[in-house]
Amino acid sequence: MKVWHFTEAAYFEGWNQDELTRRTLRVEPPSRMVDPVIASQLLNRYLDEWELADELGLNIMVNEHHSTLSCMTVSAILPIAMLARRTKKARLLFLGIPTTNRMDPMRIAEEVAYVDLVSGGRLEMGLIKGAAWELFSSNLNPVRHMERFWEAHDLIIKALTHLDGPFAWEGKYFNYRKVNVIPRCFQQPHPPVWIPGHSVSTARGAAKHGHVFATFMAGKMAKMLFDAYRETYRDTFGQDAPLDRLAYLAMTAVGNDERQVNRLVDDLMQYPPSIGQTSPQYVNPPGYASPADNARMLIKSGKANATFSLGAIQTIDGQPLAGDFDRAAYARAGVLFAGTPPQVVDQIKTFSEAVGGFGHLLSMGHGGPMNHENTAASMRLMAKEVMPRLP
Amino acid sequence: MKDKNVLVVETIDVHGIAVEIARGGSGPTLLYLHDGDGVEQANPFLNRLAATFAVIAPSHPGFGASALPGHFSSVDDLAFFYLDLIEQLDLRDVTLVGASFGAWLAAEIAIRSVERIARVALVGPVGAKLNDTPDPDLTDIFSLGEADLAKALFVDPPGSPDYSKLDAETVARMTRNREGMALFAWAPTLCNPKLRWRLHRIKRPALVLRGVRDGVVPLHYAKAFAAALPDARFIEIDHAAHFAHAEQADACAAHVVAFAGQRGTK
Repeated sequence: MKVWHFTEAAYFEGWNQDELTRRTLRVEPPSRMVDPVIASQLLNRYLDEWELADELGLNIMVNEHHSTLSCMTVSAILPIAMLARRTKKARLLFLGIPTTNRMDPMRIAEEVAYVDLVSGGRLEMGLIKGAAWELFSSNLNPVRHMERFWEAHDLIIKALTHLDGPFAWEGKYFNYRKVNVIPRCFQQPHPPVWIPGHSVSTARGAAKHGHVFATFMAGKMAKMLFDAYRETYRDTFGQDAPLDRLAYLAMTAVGNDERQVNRLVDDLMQYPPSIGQTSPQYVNPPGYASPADNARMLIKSGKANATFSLGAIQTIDGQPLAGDFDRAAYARAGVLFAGTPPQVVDQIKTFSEAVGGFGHLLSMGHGGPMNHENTAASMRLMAKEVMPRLP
Repeated sequence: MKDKNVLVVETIDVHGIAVEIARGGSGPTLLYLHDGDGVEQANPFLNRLAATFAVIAPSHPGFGASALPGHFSSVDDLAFFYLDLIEQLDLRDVTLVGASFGAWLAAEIAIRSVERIARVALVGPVGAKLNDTPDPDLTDIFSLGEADLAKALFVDPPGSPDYSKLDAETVARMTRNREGMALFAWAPTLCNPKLRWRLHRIKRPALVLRGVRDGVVPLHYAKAFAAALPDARFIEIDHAAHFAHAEQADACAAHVVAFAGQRGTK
């Protein structure tokens, strides 16, 4: 199992500072509340930790969000480009470029090729649709966004693999006169593609292309998604999906003793509640989910806006996560792997077996107010004591 | 006065698009174009109008139970669709009435052809960008929370429904209407920047109505919209917000009847 170090690169200092940021971290907070000196230090620190990941033999994952205190990486390719120069061995995964919210797939293809060359072929290309609330930043239409995603995907792949001079693209969503990516990418025919998702249709879509499918903190649902992937992969390619086609993201905290672990977990667990800190009207703009799905959600909840909560996640044995913090339950749910190295190895193995196995652990080893010292200590144990014992 | 519902719903085919149409009443032809929340909430308004007019009230493609072709993505598509519908049903001397998004649509139809249109009545029209700065004229309804949106639309909001107690079809129509509204009005928000320069083509008598407490369309905008039309009157509706046709159905219907020069029946 490959392990990838991930942090959302949050500006935690801005969380819950006033009435507004207790309610929402996204779309609305004024950037005035970001202290440039602190933000500068934090961004450099997060880059240091990714460089540390490389030294420790971990791989690197970054993401991207917009107009939010939960994630300061405004373009995933930016840190990856810097890390391409500063790291030696790590695979460099951005997961990913919000393809649905970016207006220019050709530019994505050009930047991918450039960074793949600089890194000597270590790039892993995550194409994501992007968060619903980011449609308010990009101003792109929520309706048919998956259609737009797949057209952008097809265009990016063609742009990276077409080596015979310019081609024209007259699509439903994108129109180019001459697509011609120079220089072309290092890895041929193109860097591995990753697609994350929480729906069976996205899992099957990724499987049809043979791309890596990743799901985040999905708990019991991961089994359903991975099973759908495996089924479609088998139908498409006539063989079983290799384990390296499936990836799972969870929070991780590894300590030498209970006291250390508790300190890490106390900090890390400040991340999950922040997921729901978004004003309701931005969570699910009309057209983002299908009318049928929206109708089902409305009838089920009775209310106009249902927001994410950990209560929606189920453990492998089908238990909803309790409101009270119970580390064992969170581990069984696959939301958090926390403990001493042997405990964490056991938790990951147990969860992986329960969902049919996966080849990549996307290890969210930093979140909330975790400081550098604690983050680095947990990463070291993950790399030295946990990773070598994983299947 | 509570009218009984005289509207009958049928489905017709317009160039391969299955369209739901409510019809009722008799008299001169009135084509009603609904707001983003669908044709349903105009029922009282339409029943008043049906005392004077032969009312035709389709659900736009993508709204209610009307089909949405995969290539439809702008009000442009809807405007040409309605020109087809008007031609297919052989409607003439049409009193074209639109509310909110439907008023935008009425303008988009009329700039293309007023051949079969006698007059245009617009309630809380959106759709044009009328100022020369990058600042929006209109309230971004998509960024409003539920309570703020309700206040922009109604002086006395009807209150949020308990969706769990509604039947599946009603809720499905609501979510479909919302999707349609996002598809056609998401960006540029509630407007077509080109429309302003085309409004002069609507060479027919026009009536612009606005609820005095419209939280979407500012007063100066509604007046400017009327002024951009060749021959428009502007009237404000008391105790109404953006959905004046829903909250003050009687008053709005009476203005439309008077505007059309038809004798209203009570």
